[in-house]
Amino acid sequence: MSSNVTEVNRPLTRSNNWKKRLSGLKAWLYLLPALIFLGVFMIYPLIDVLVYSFEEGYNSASQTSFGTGFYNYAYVLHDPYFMQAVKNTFIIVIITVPLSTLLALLISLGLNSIKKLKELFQTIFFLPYVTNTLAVGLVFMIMFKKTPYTDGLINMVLAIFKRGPIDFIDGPYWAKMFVMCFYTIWVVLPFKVLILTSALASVDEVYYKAAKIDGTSRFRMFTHITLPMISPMIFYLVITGFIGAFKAYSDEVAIFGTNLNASGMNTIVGYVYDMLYGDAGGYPSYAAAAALILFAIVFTITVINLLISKKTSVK
Amino acid sequence: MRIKFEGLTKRFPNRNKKIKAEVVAVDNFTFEIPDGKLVGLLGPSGCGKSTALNLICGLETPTEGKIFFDDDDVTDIPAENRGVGMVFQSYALYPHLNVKKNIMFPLQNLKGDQKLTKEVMEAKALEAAKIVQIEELMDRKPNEMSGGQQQRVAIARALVKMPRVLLLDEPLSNLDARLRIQTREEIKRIQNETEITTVFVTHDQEEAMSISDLIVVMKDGAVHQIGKPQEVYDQPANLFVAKFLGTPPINVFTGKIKNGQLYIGEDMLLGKDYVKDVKDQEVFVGIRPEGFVLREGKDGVQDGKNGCFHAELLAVEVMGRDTSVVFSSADSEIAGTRHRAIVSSDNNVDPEAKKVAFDVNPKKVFVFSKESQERLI
Amino acid sequence: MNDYTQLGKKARTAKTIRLTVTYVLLGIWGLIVLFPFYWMILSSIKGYGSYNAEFTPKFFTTSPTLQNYKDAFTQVSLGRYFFNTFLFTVVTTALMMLVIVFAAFAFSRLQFRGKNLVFTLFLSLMMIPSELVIITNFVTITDMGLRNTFTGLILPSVTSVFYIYLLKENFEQIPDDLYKAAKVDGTSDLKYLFRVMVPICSPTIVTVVILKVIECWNSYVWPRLITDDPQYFLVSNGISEIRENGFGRENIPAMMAAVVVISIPLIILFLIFHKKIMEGVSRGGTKG
Repeated sequence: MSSNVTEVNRPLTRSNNWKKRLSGLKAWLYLLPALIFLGVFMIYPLIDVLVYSFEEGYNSASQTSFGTGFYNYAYVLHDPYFMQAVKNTFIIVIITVPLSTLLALLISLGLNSIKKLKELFQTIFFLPYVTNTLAVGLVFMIMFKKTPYTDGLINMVLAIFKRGPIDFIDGPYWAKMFVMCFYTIWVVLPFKVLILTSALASVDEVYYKAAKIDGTSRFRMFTHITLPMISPMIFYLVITGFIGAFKAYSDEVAIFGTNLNASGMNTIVGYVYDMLYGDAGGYPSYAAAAALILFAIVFTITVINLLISKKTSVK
Repeated sequence: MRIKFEGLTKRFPNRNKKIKAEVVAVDNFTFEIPDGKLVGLLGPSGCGKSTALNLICGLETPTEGKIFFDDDDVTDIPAENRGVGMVFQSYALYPHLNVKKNIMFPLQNLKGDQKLTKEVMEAKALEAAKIVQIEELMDRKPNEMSGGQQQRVAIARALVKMPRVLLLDEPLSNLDARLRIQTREEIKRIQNETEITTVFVTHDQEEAMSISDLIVVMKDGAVHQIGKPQEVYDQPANLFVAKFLGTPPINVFTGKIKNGQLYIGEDMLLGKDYVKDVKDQEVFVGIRPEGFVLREGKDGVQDGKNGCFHAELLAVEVMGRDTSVVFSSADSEIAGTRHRAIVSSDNNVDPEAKKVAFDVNPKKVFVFSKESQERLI
Repeated sequence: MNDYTQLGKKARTAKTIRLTVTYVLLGIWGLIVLFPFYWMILSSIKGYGSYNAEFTPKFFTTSPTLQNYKDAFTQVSLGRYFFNTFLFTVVTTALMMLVIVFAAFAFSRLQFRGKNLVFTLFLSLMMIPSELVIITNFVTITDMGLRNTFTGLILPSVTSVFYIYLLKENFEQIPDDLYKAAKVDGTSDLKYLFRVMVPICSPTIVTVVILKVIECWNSYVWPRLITDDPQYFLVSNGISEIRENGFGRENIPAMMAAVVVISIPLIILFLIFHKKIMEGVSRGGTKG
């Protein structure tokens, strides 16, 4: 009996197998474009960048190198421009990430407590997300810039308080950093406000009702109900915020122009691109080393963030 | 504590913004809930019973009218100052806090000279947990408990601050059938023990009937009848109340009063003794399933001929203690309704018979005006 | 009883104050957000002479002019940048949609050996920062002689692991029975994909398109690396070029006119689709 069954089944299985293989082939065909593009522009570069970073003295014109080692890393780490870029990046990260998250939280709380005009405010607040950072950066630049013809809008406001005038674009470091952070926050806030507003809205109203009946103060409602419930989203924002801020670059170009080294406002990513191309360009090895250092920093910070968030949520 | 309503009204703007007319969720409530009683607000969904509950606890402010707790006008008092405890339909247990912290939460809100030490709070939490018998679960998180256990925690949290009024919003709707019966007895027991005036909202008439001292039947924001469960069942004020209470539901037919007698079709149901001086008119006749008495023929078997109410027999369902006779009538209020009479299983009904005849128990027959749907007899 | 009335009154006053403060603060931030837009429009309609004559900038102008817009299109090749960006955006988005729809279809609907392995690899690619791979891509494109070509601009950005993932999740929600029914009716996979799956998932597809369009319109880094011929500049590079070399540096009103022109398409798109865009972004978009 059993042998009978097998015999009957055999041809069927064979044709099934053949069919399966065909449909497998078809699936790969559907995947092919994605695989090719990812292979050429993501996977290969990933390996290649490591190679670059260890090739000493690589010259992109002659495509030759004279050895392998850590020289590129050493060079980058001893480059004052790189150290300045690291310092700038860290300052931007440390100031803008907590401040923007906090500000976003306040704004979202405000948005969630009103009914009238809520949608209007939400739409306005989101506007910077869809604007070209380079373009609006230029507007910020002229608002803050002091020229021989005019002190600029911001200095006019400062004059009311008997301060200034300060050149925010070509002046002291702290002033430039202030504009930078201000603009960065202006740019990143829409996303954070959006995420937090929807996180807040997703907290079931019934918890607040229950708390209200029990006479819970607003502050306690916030710290004991709202915060614990939206904490996953806050952590998400902090983590992505850190990653994003470490990659700051085009916002800097928007305010200070392409020659960031000259204005002392370069960032790590800016340094990478400058090494690759631009006035000091043509050194993909240095660029690769700098990019990998950045990756290491971001990776470490992200892991620390994840550990903290895990610990907090377990508690 | 006594709760008194005076012309209490709540109107909402229509959700469909195109419709200007406001929705009346609570319409001119004027009645009193006596101290220490368990009161059920009963009505179909959307009848405004939850809004009424929210008005009592202060989550909503009324459009018109007043609410009194004893003699205090609490209409404008915010929820936190009313001293009410509330159990929400979804329980609203804080998911990130364990049972003990959930129960202690209201106590930690107290300020000034009302502030309690940690020991006192823990003692009170334990006491509340004991009332609802969950003292072994104090370290669990809400999502580690069954629906019934969560319900108890929610009640404990509402009780812990010794509220003047306890409010329960659809307390049993999230529980399965077996737990439901158990929990409703539990609610009755807790209310008896604490003697706190308790108001609960439900759409399930059986639930309301089984445990309430008093039920308030609502529809479209208006109170249709208030009374003890049995009273409301036996003496419904109008067609809606009669239909809403009772399983299986009451059977409704169209009929008329002619020459001081009640007719359904050609059958004369009630004579002058019952009809008294109600004017001749078209009416609705409601007959409770248990109000039918099988009229048996000569040989002790149903013959469908004698009796004061005749109908087409559809099926006979034997349920052990009772037998349910399913029939249809040309005079149904809604054509094609499958009516149901519950008779003693001692009766012999031939399932093959096409016709069935009943006598009726006049106490179980209610007559309503066709126009106003108010009860006439 | 007196006590109670007072309590009620106090609660109401507190609420009014709280609401007022909230509105004022939200209004202030709204002003901060909107002001740069106002300022750029205002500056763009001030005449060159009158702008430079204002040592203290004025918040309005009595003699608006459109001359700056004329200058923006004639003195620098703003029209060219605009067209380039438009072309780049449309082609990149269209190509990417094709690539990701196919890939998402393969992952969600077709069975093949190694599917889970490949998909896991895909997911892990999401963690790779673009800064890391851009270096080699720059070299690759340069070596292929594709600098200053549209091909070079477009090719590296026609796939997105994240969007494949988003679409795959959406595709998977379509019940199996639909696929089986289509198979029984003799519908080919390709037809099923475009006649059934794509229409059903059109909300997600539209979201992805919008997000990609925003990304393309604002892209700066890659175009900057790959083009140095103004013939191929996108608007972002154009702006940076204008800032450094255009209009004789100090013609700020003309610059602002260019900025307005560049910002307008996306703002209009946003005003029309603001609900959709915000929904899409909150479902998993990040900037850039």
